[in-house]
Amino acid sequence: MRKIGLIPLVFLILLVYLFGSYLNMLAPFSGTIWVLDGKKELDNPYGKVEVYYDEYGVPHFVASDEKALAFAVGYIQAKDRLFQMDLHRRIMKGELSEVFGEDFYESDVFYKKMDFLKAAEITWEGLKDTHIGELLEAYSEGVNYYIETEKLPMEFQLAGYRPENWKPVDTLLIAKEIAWGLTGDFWDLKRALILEKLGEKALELYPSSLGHNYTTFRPLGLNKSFLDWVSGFEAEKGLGSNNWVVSGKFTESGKPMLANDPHLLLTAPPVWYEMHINLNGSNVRGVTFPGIGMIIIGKNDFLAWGFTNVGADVIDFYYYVWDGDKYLYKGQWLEPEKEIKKIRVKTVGGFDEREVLVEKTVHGALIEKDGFRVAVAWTGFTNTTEALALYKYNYARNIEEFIEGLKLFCVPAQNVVYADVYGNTMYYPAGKYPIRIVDGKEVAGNVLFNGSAGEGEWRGFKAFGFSTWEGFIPFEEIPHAINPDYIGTANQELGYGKHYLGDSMYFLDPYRGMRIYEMLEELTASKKLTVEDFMIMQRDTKSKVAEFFLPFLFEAYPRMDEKMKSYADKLKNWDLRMEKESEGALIFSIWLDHFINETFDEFYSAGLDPEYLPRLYVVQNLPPESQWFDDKRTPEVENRSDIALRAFKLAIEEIEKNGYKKYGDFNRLNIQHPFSKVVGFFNYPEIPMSGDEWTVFNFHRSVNYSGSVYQAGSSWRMIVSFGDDYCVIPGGNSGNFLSRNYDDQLRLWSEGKYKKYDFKLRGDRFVFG
Amino acid sequence: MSSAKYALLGVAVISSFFHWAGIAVTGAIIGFMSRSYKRAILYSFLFALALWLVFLGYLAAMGVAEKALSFPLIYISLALSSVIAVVSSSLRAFK
Repeated sequence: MRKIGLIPLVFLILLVYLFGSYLNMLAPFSGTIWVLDGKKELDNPYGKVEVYYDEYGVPHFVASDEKALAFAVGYIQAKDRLFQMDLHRRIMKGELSEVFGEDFYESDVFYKKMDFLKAAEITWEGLKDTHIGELLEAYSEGVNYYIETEKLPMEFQLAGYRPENWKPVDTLLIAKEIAWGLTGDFWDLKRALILEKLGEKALELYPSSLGHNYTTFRPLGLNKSFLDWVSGFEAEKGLGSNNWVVSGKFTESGKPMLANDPHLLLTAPPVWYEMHINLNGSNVRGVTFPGIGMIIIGKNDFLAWGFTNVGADVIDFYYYVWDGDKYLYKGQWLEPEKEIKKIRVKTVGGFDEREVLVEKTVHGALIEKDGFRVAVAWTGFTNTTEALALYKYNYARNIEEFIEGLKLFCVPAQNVVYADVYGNTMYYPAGKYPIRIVDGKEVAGNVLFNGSAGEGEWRGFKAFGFSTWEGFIPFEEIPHAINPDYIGTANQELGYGKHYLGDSMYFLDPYRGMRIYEMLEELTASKKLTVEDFMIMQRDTKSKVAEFFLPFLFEAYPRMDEKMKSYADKLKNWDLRMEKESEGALIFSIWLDHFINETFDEFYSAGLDPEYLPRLYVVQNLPPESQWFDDKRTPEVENRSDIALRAFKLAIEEIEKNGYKKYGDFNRLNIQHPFSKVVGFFNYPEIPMSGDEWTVFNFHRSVNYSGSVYQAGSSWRMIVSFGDDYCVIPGGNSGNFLSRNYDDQLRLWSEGKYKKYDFKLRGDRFVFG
Repeated sequence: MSSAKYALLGVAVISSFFHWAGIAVTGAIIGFMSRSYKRAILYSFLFALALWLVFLGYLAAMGVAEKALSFPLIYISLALSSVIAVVSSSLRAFK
């Protein structure tokens, strides 16, 4: 009998040997994956901080010492979003393939070659001896205290690695990532490729705000494979934001009101993290990016501020005459600065260590693919001071102190709207805008510059060094408005003619801006505005695009068959609102996609992807007989009406084939977690959505970014009235799947509803100290 | 059975809230205390199931039970703890 006992014993040992790590992870109660609460009394080397988690998982910090506060913020952000923080620093450091394998190697090569880490390090050099430097250190200590003492979020366990300790440079890397995501645009190169493929006739599709003729194509050996490679890592295409501010003259309360909704990728967990800080009795509340310990968009006791991306051209590309390994620069042969960096790639058999040559010229990072080599200058490649600016925003008490912060904001340049309790309003597109000079004349930056001749250089800029910025548009010269009655921004052109800020592809279509102004004009003319009016504005789904494009389809009405006419009649009776229950919105949306595709078939024939297409506003203004409407594959000469009709036929086929009945059948929210390709349970639930990329209530069904398809839209909605204020994020504040706050705001957000945005302390209490 | 055995069983059950080894020890004790293999396997499985249900109750108290039940790993958790308890109970063969 006892010998028989050996069998279960051996089986038990085998079981523990094979599944011990899973038992460690998944056993009820003790499994490391079940991170539900954690300790509520915690050490803090810098002093006492109380943290209250409210019903939406928003932490409210109460502190009297800034370093103690920074430590607690670091700990709490790590508790809620550590995996997201680590993932983003890995992207920027080029360390994804170490954890996720070969698929991410190309991404790592790009980020290593661009050397964002060096840019963050030089920024840290400029900050480390300042008060902000001390706070960044304390924040990092807080993050590391969490890493060292608590269960790691389940993603780390599923991916099988431990995060390294957090450093101040990592926080600055996150800031560089945001800046790159909004301004790192390779449009200048794409423009050159379009000219090469389609000729100068294509220029009418991409009007320049300066109209300078420096944009003549010169053959440079630019190849599409280079652009395909870099395109995967450039700024998210077409993402914009809305903000507006209205003076107290037009509000029921007599106080100014401000609204903001930045449009970014929709991810699980969300890109933003909401928090409230009470430091020595002074409040500031809003959102930040996990990894950054200060509020980026928000309000304090005295004022509120919101951002949209300016979208200005703050990136340039330089080509050189090469002689072997040396490049010509102003008559001298120079060797690029070289450094070998290593990338660890996770493979089936273990790890593979590969070397990447990182090169820099006098202008910036040198990148090369398939024989095309270009240096990249980007305003974020230097010692920028956004951290100092944000600190000033957070604790400013009036407009003068806030403007001091604006002066320090470098990249990404933002359309900042501002309102305060004293009744002031302001608009200031703060940031650093380079001025390019060629042969003594200011030129547009939407071209490749001859780096060997020193063309188009930015005076006062030193890539990966300390810049003095004297060759940039002076802060005072940036067009701005102090105490406007009302102003709205939606990434449209600034209407600023003195200096080049970017061509039509740097700025977005004006439809949201038009609609915001249309609503503001109507409302201010008829009544005094309330918070509810701002909510209605943020929920607005009226399509200016439909208003301008549908007449092109109706021109073809007499040539439609009965079935087509029945569909067109639905569009004639449609209220132009992109509502999820609307059939008109469904028909229009699918027709528009086909109309654009059919118009620009020549692009596709030339191998140019949809991201090379011009702005919709340009298409809207093409004459009906424009050459772009002619399908070169047919002997006939088509016009706009022909293409509209053809697209309509295709749209009806698509609708009937897929059985779509209303817009929400087609326009669906499907927010995914980074692990979505492996496991689905982290993803948010799928929901029918209203809105599109051109409506104020903003939702992009599909965005290509870094080789993956994402959705995008309002990533934070905020309304400040200095009375009852409101906000919402698309998902939840916690990154912990098992938290009740993982996705508790998703329905609110998708339906255009809000939660209170106040300074009231409430909820579960944690104490540091 | 002596009260010492029950005390030992109680300690083992409590320890299973803190480490999976406690589940194995509890399973083994149940095995030794059972009159037959069949009962050993049944009781140890019921113990694992009860522990998992208490855990679900805890998740419900935290307001996340519904979400946890949509999470595949919660069922793997039940399967692993059941298997370890049942296999441990069969160590009664040493009796």
